[in-house]
Amino acid sequence: MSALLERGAARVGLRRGLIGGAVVLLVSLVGMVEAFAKRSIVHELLGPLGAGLPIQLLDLGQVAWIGAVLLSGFAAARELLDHGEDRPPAGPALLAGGITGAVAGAMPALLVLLGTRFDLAEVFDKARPQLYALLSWGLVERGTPSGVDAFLATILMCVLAGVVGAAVHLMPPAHRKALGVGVLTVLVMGTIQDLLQKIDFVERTAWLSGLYDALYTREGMEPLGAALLLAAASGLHLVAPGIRAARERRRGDADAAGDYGDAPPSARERTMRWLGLGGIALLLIWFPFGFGKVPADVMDLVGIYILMGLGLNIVVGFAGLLDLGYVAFFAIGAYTVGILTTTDPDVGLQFGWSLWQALPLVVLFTIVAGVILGVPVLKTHGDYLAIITLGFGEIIRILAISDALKPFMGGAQGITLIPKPFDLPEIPMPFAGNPSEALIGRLNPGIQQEIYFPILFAVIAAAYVSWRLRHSRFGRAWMALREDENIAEAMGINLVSTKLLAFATGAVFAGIGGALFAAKLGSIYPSSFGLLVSINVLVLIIVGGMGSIPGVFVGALAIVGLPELLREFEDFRLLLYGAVLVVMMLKRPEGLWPAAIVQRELQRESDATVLP
Amino acid sequence: MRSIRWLSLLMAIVLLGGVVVACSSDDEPEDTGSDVEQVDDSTNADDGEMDDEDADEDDDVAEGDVEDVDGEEMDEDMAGGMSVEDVMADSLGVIELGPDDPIEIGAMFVLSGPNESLGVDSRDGVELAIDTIGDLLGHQVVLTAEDSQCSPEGGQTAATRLAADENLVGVIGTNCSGAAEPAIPIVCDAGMVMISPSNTAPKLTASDRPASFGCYLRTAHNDLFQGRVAADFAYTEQGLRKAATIHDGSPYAEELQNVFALRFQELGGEITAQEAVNVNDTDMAPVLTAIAATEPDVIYYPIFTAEGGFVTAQARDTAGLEDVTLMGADGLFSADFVDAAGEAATGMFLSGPFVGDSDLYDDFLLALEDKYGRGPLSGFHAHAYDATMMLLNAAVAAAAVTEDGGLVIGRQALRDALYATTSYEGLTGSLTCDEQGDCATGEALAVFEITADVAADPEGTWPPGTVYQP
Amino acid sequence: MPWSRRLRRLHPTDVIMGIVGASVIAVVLYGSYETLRSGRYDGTDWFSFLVAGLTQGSIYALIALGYTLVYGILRMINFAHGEIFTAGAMTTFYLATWLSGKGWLTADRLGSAAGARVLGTIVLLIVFSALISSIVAVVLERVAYRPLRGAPRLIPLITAIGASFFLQYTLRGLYGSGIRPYPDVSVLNRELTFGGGYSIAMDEVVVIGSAFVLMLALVAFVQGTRTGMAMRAVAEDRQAAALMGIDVDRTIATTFAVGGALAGAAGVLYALLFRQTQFFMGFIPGLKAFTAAVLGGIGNIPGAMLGGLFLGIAESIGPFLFLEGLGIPSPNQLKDAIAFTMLVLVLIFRPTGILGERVSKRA
Repeated sequence: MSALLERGAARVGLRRGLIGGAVVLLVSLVGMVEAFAKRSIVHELLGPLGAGLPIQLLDLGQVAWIGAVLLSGFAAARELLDHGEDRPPAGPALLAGGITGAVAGAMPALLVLLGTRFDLAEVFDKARPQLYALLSWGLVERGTPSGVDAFLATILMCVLAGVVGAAVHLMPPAHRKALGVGVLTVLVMGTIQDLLQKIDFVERTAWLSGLYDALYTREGMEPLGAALLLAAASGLHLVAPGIRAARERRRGDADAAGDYGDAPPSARERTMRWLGLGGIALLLIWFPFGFGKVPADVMDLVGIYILMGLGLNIVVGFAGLLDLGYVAFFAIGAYTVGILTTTDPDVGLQFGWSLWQALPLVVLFTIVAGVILGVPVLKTHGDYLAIITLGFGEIIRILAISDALKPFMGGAQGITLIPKPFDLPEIPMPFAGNPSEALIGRLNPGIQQEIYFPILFAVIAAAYVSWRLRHSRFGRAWMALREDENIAEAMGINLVSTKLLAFATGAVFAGIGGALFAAKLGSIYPSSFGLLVSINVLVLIIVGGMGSIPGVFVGALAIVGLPELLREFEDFRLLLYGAVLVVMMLKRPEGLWPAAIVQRELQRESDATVLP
Repeated sequence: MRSIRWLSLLMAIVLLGGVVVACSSDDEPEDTGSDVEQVDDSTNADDGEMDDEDADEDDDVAEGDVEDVDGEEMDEDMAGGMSVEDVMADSLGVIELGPDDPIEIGAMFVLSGPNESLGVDSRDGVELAIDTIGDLLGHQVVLTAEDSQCSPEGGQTAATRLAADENLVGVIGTNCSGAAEPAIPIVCDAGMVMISPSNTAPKLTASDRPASFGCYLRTAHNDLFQGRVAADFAYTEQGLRKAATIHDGSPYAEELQNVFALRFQELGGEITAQEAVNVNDTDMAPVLTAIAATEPDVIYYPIFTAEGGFVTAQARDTAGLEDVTLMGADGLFSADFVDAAGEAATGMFLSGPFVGDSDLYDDFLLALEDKYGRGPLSGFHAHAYDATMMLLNAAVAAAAVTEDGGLVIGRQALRDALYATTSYEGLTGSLTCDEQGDCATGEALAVFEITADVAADPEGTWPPGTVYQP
Repeated sequence: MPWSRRLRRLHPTDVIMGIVGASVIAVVLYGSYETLRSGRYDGTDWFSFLVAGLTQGSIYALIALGYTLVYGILRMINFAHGEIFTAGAMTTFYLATWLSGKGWLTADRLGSAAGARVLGTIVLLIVFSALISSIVAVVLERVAYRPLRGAPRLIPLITAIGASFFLQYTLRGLYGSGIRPYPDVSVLNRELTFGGGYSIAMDEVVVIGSAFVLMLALVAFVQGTRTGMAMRAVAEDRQAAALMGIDVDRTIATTFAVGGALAGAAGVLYALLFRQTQFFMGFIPGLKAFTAAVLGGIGNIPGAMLGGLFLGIAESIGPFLFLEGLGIPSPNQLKDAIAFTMLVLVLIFRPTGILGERVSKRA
């Protein structure tokens, strides 16, 4: 025993346990455990075996707090092993995991003990009996003080989680990764049940809906299905490296036979690439009809945020000008469309245009707005720029809401009766009742499906423009500006035009996003154009990777798409955004996507040095 | 310099594009049919009875007696007198339920963010209505609730999600009028009905509302009623002649103070100032000083709790406003507000839904306490309860039991039954829906006075006593 | 230099900005003239506007000092400073309610023993709140900012934005999203009248007075103590300070603690004045205070005070002085727009703020 302790298991366990316990307390007291508990992942977790046990199902709340303990155990084991020799015995690691679990578990256990005796809800809003029941695995009845059994049950489960976490660290890395992938797959599949149910394609296709019914009950996944899924995902991940290695080998042969590195692709590769692109295009076109209105609605929103992300990426990512008032351009786009197209007799100047007629003016106005914002801030930089742009965004919102401009912009009542972008005649259904209906669905598109195509087009166009600009003279000028303004100027870069171009281009993208947003909703209110939109866009480009175009797509899917799938997150969206921002900046400031590129580039470089 | 040229080129192209784009024709969207047909009166009488029975049973349920009392007899009494063939011929489509399928209703409320209590309060009302009604024609009733937030984008997303569920009978929601606007066409397009417990914007049920709003009704009182009641009270009852108003930039407050101002002037009063504050403002002294300079007799500020608290507390400290009459509306109608305003709220008048003195409502409060261990969070739970009851009653009226014990419900028939609701005795008074979908009239409103007792202990004495009913 | 050459050197953007600035000033003057001519408000009204502005402004100034201290030493905007203010005010709510329940906040008049106890209790609340806010600020610095020292400037700023949202919504989760009404200190609701209709409420006197005392204490601390000297040294040149034997990390932590304490004190003063706390309460004052710090010249302690008072008064008087005269309905709605427009104008025409930036250029 003393030999085990000598390795610092107790110290490491205590430290990790305290951190883990604090995290558990935090997620419990801010209400995450309770809110997430409503989302069950696996139904009747242990099948018939678990009949008498308190754990009937696995829910997201349990994942949140037990997961925190498990990760603490994992981290404790890692910390311990890092200090030791190459392959230390498992004993100390497991012990450290157990101590971590015990220390971490003691905190929620104490919370239950105190909470059931004193009225903590006076101070902590979320310290409610439901929380205590969840933390003690249902052993605490409402209104009665908890006993020793509940206290021990909480700690025991945490010890178990800590030990399991530590044990996972002892596994060979390949197996550990495979297990992680498996567990993640089950968690993801469990949480997106709602969405799967709303995908038209699944519902209309017999075998898919059969699979769905086999996998899910009304309350989460079937345990057998979950186990199979876990096995399948883990197995695939174990086998995958073999397949990839084989492919690499083949490519390596081809490289060896031909030139190095960036050789022009062969005819066959080119065909494959075009086929792939065509496939993606078909999939994108088919998506809104095949998947139905709900996924189309989510993708519309993601698309609008991608547009804004691409724009802000030019301003912040390329040119390094931190803009916290980006929503201003979004609002200008939306309001331009609103004012020009609304049929509401009380608002605006009764132009009665269509969206398409209004779009060129949207572009014009946002360019002008970009320049108007750009000129005064030419001389300010860094932190000042952030606060000025923030003020600019607020000014636009305040003007939109003000009584002073009510006759033009609708004031508090917003602008309603914005017509739909398309005026489609009712299409007869040639597909009704035959197999193609399963594939395409009924052709009476909702606004969610109609607006999808303009958004898709705009996103592709914006991505192309971004990409071309990135590799143009302007792109290089922006990079230079971002790295060092003075040197850039000394190198002959015209700061004024370079900065203004960045602002104007970014503004246009956001303006088009706003225009499509207004057309999608049919009514706009000033409250939709708050600071939060700017923050959302900023977060998404940071998560994706500043300056990276694919990163914007990844970031938008993660930051805008994911919360749409998990509405429970809504209440904690900003809390999690905040945490994500801080953690990203501390641990991975380069973002999710560029990391992969950097990695590959580094690999190529090391390969290149080996070659003669 | 090159880039400047580049910019000007871009602008030129843009301008040219603007000129080139041709006009497109605007065709009216097809009428989705909001015809109102009169349904057999006996149905409605039945509805009313059923509600009473169920309300009585409520206590039994609360004590844990979950026996299904009404299952059998309802099959004969309740199923609307329609045959399966009639129902299947419904012009908007049919909901077909197997013998074990539940009857599903949807809800979309503000379930996150600063107005969360409004949405949770409404959801409580819906859930209690479902508890009260128990089984309907032998089918369990289940609720799917979505978060529509208080924004158009939230409303559209929630409506899209609910509309994707083809078995939904109808939707209760939204809370905010802004969220309702994009949501209504989506819900209507799916053949469902939508009843809001707390949308008050007049345009949603205006006579010129778009045809795509044809499935929308509400149990909340139109702002036109409330603003009018407040103005009548101030001018006629209190004999006040000069009024100032404050709004907070929310559509609700802006509309309401406008209605108030118009009515007040129509009665012969004078509006001395129409001011505005911003949400999250704290220092109201400047705006109150400006108002004080116009020497009003009454200040009407139909805003929300936080800012309402600041205005109330600071008005009493402002020179010239010590004795002015203060009036708010249902956005301030909660004990929270009186807490926030403190003693300064003494003598203030609030207009709000009049639900105070029926036995039904007392039963409701008991059931609420029993289920959630707390009182109501905001002012629209009773409206949500009534909306749910009306929806389920209409569903029964439009339903027929099939041979295998399943259920078919005609969508058009349901819509018609709902629009034909007359003298339904709900928690919020007698409800009769008009052609535009307004089911509440101004009669269910009252003006309440915050007395010194209420100001000293808001939670204990809520709701305050009424001083005026139209 | 001959005029023609000077003109040629003038950048076109400078010309545009000059025109914009001149027209803004013209509009402001015209609006003020119209308002004064209409005689809508009399002397007592203007006095009320001024007092309201001073009170709000002294709270801005206290918060702005935290921004300025941190900026001076780290060249970073601690975006989360508004939330540090909230944390103090919301946590102190429970102590205040408890003490109020014991009758410690009740008195007939300030002169009596009970009155002295009320003042003592307020001081106790301020100290407690300052303590809580300091702890939050120091933990924040340790966890989120210290590892980023030396990173590109954008990175700590984004971290601070993230920390701001994290803190704000953690507070919301812990204490709930509802309003928590502070106990009413009724003895402070009295008015001090000067005759002629001029009067000022006691709570406003207390707030303005406490703010000035705290600011003077800060100046004394920074100028007169060894720790203050260390802070100034680190702000001047971090490397050189380290070479002189100053513990830089410790000094920076102290700076955060002092800034946090001032924010916490401001939180209690705010709660005394407005009697409501809510998780969101710090965000807007935080932004305004930052604006104030920039207005006064960031990194400059007297500048932050001046900027805060100036901003408070401009927000209070501005809408009614010049917007009203232009015939704009509901001018009060636009007061935030005035604040931000002022910020933009100041940064364009005097980028270092009213009193100038006290930040060395070597950093």
